[in-house]
Amino acid sequence: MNKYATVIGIGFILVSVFSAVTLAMTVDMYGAFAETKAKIVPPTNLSIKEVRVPPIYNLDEDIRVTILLSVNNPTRLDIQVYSIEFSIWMFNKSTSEHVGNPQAIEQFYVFSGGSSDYDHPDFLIPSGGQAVLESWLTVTTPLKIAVLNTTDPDDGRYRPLVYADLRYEVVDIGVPITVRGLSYFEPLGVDPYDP
Amino acid sequence: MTLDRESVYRASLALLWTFCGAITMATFFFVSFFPEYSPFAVGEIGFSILFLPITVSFVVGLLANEFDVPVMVLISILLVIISVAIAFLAVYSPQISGIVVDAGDLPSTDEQRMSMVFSSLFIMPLTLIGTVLGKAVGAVVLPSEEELMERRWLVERTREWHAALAKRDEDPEEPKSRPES
Repeated sequence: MNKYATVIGIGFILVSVFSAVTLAMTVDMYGAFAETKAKIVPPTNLSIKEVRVPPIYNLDEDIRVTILLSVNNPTRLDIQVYSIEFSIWMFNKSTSEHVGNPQAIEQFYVFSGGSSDYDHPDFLIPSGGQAVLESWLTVTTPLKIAVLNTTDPDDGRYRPLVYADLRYEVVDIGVPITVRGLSYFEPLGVDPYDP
Repeated sequence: MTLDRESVYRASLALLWTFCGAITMATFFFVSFFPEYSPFAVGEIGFSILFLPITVSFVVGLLANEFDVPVMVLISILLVIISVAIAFLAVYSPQISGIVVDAGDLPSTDEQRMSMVFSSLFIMPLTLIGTVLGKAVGAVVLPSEEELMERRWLVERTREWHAALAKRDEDPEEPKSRPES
């Protein structure tokens, strides 16, 4: 082999070794991202833990509804949750049979909303970490507050149905992931939240 | 047909260059489609689809220039097949390793995978041009030691011929005879 060709050949091998290392690192990160996307799903690592609806005394008073979302991150990558959006329907004992019926639940719809914070430190969940995230919305319309104000006459409890979407991104990668279809319904109801 | 050690050595070397080129092409191809997962930026997709296959295959052609053009065509085909295979193995690696079950859960979208398939079609002709061009340049600029020896021998013999012819022209009485070869 020509001596100049030998030098070019060695250089070529070094470039390909560098490429192989880069490819291995990229594929590793790609796999870790896939793992994150596959593992952070409801109900194993993502669930609505609690829905807080305060007692309503006056329909003209603004009401703050809060949901607590439990997030467990068993993956190798840190994640930053930046948006939680949810919709809420309100039932009582007699109407709760409609919960699984998408057509029938419309009359019990209260509102949709949520919160987003792109770089809130509380919303950063490190690898192997766990967090309970709080998202809330203030209901201001008396008509909506009236729909919300449906405590059961028997036990005085709310029976809210909540569907939520969570948006997060993997910190080192920056690709957004949306998890849809988080749901919460407690047939036995929840007590009005009075802190 | 028997293979001597020299032929095996040359074929192994050609395979080594092909494999090295395929790794480089696959890396740039994959990373340009999924830059967010890479530790280094490698530029636009166009760079990986147009410029890189020509450059890499040119170097492969340069290094394996002792082979004939039909062999260079085979090398370029092999280069494309291996690099595209590596790139697609990388794309489906989470599914192959069992991290995800369904292809829909892969980090790449269907559109990205389809555009990778279409882009890989562009690589073949460019690689072919690159290897043949590399072979042509390599044969002139980087001939092998054997070829250099052969060329030197030919130059030597030609000089002897010229010297013999010149001597004959100077001395017309000398009998016309061909120099020993």
